[in-house]
Amino acid sequence: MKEFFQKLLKIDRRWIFLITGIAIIIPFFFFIGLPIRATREVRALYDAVEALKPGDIVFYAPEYDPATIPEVQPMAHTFLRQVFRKNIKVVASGLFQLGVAQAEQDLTLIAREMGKKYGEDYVFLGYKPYPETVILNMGEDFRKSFPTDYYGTKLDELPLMRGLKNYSDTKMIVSMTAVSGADYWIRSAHGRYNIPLALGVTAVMATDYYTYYQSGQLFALMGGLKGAAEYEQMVGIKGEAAKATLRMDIQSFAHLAIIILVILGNVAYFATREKK
Amino acid sequence: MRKEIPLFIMLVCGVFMAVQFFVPHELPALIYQNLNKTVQVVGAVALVLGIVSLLSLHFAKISKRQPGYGYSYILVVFFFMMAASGFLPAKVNLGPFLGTGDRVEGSFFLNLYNYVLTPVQATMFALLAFFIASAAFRAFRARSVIATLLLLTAVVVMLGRVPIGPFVLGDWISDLADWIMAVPNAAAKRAIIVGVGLGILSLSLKMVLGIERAWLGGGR
Amino acid sequence: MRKPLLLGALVFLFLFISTPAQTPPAPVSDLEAIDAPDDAGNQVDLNWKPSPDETRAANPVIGYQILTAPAVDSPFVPIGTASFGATSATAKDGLKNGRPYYFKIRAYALDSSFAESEVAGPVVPQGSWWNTKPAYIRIFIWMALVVAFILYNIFLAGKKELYIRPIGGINAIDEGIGRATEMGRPILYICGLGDAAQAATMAAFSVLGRVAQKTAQYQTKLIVPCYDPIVFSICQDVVKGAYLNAGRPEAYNEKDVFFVAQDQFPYVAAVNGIMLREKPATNFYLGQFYAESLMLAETGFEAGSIQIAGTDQLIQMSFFIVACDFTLIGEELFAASAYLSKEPEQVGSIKGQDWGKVIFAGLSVLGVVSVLLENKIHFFGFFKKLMINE
Repeated sequence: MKEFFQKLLKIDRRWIFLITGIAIIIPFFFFIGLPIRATREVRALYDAVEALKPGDIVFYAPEYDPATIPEVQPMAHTFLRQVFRKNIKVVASGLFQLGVAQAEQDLTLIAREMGKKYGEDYVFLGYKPYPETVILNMGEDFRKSFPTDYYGTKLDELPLMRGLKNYSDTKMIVSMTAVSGADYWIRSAHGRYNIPLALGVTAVMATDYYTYYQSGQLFALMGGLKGAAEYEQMVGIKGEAAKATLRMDIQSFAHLAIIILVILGNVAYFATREKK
Repeated sequence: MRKEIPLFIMLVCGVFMAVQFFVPHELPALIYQNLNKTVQVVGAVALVLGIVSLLSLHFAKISKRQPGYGYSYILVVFFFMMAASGFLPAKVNLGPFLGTGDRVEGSFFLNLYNYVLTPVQATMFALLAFFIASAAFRAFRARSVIATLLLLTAVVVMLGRVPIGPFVLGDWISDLADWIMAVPNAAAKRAIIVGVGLGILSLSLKMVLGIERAWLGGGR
Repeated sequence: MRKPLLLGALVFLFLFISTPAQTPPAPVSDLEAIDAPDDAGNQVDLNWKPSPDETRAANPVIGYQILTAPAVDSPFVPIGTASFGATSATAKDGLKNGRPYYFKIRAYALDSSFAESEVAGPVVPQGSWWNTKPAYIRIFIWMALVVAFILYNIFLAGKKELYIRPIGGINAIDEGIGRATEMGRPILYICGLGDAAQAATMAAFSVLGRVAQKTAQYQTKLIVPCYDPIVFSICQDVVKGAYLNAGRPEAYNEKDVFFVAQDQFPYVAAVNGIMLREKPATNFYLGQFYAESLMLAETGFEAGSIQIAGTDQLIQMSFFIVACDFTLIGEELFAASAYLSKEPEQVGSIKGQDWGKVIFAGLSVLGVVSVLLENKIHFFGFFKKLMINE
């Protein structure tokens, strides 16, 4: 028994990878659908969007790259579906150079699905370097940083942008981000222009941004896959489109596997320690 | 003068940036915006230097047939392929497999992005799940009271933040995990943020005043 | 023929008489325009008494338009709007510092009829040279206080020896360099994924200079793969300068300091490959890190390196603490160069920071007590208002 525990302590980490891999793969084939309880910070975004009227405009800032698609894309898609369903207009920027193509694809995909027309229902401004300067400039006038949109059309030629000057003409800013640009939105957009701001971030980042939610600098915060799953349930996304909900089972099993490994490691540690 | 000029520029720019925050007048704001644009230009030029360094390193590896030079071949080929895909004229058509020359769906550029870059980056990020498992197995041992506290906190948060925890144990685990995130975690982070802020202020002051000069190259 | 025409005329007359005449709304009154304080000289604050016709049943006022002109007899152009019920607004569209402007408010009703107020002005918006908002004053006082503490302690350090507690991670830097020298394996130094303007990256440069000087003396190989091109240029300069200072310029190999990729995962893939091939004895991770921190640390562990990490990224600190041998937490990274150089001015700056922390802790306690007792003891209520008044 002692040798077994000693071997367990020195186990090749590839066995740990294999166990983790199996724990992640199995739920792919058996969808359980564990219930997900909505938290206050996610409900705040849902309620805020539901309170908007058709024709209201929101500013949407997707900033995630292919690496963080699994966590952030579901919340981005759900947000776009909710706003387009209510006929709310969207002005979007993509201030992360590695994610601007992804942002454009996602926006176009959901807009097409919801039957929305570019220029009238949504506009994509695209990317400009030095995001903090761009965010500050957009608080004065979108045209300062973006004289044209992502496709090269002058902003004033787009029906949605006529009469739309800066953040104060929108109802809120919602940023789905996996980069440190979230700090710029808090500091420069909300801090300088006092626009209601909500963030959707990866689970790891959410631990940092709770402090901003508590202080009121964010009116809503979605963290990781769980936040996305809660939001999907509230908006009523079902089936294949509810990617975060489908993946929560996988996350549950992965966490369980890690906890079991940790417990085994501790049992082995104490067993060999006592023997010493 | 090799050190005096950069130190002088650091002093002037450092003091200006600090004072500019408190001055709403349009003149300092204009200077600030122009300084930001200058940084952008410098960054673009430095990128050229970086690319030259990268390519010269890998060309040297290829020419000397150093171990792993095959990977250098792949790097160089894909480097130029991705760069070229961004410059292709819209009218070019490389066939149904590779795509067109513009930057819309079905283009060569987006095909490389969607079918090469995206899966590769997602794979790299997915490795984190496995690394976390092996790091947790190694590190979460109840060696002392504090280590035990860390272990128990980690287990509570891991269970409370996924549906299976409340499903099996009840809602209290989720409430406890939320409390841990909202109270002790936030408190510790705020304290560290204060320390980091003071550290940044101190380091910046030392650099502006020329006390800290290691960034110049070689110290005093 | 005559009868239909007569009938049509009678119907028209009837409709004309029965439709009530819509009167334009009453204008706003007492319009006042003053230069907005604490701005760049492009804003004017407007105050007025609202139109009494906001509340009339038929054809009420539904909003206001702000009009401006450079002279009284010039055409007035709209530059902004104010919603129903507003009694103030800030005009800022197109105004320039130092030029006179005249203002009018147009109250418009449901049927688009409108009435304009009397002209207010001239107002010359002037840029402010100091922001007098309470939040900015508080920041300035706090910054001035901490700067004063740091400068005073730097001055004091020149006069007497100041004690600072030892930090395990910083003591381990010399041990790590020694380990690499004895094992004949290289040192891997990573300045993080931040750009050169980030404080954590600047702190990394400081430590790199000192590490490079030691590796030059001990003839240990130092590998510095860089994420940002500007950081790469600076690192080359820092390492080259350190080798010059150590009197070993010929030992400097510029190929050991190189740019990898300005993308997170390609960078970490390249660095992981370097770790597994070169098997460095010591890895330094000092700077700004993101999701790749655990990947670097785990691969470094697999390669058998001892690892010293330091970052200001709160999230990544946890990963480094779990996976690395030594971690510099928070401001310990910024203090590292002071510890390594042992120069009195550097040590004095750490003391100054610590004084700042003591004051901050005291203010925090006072703040908590103020919130609890604000309604019972006047001083605490006053203190709370002082600290949070915008």
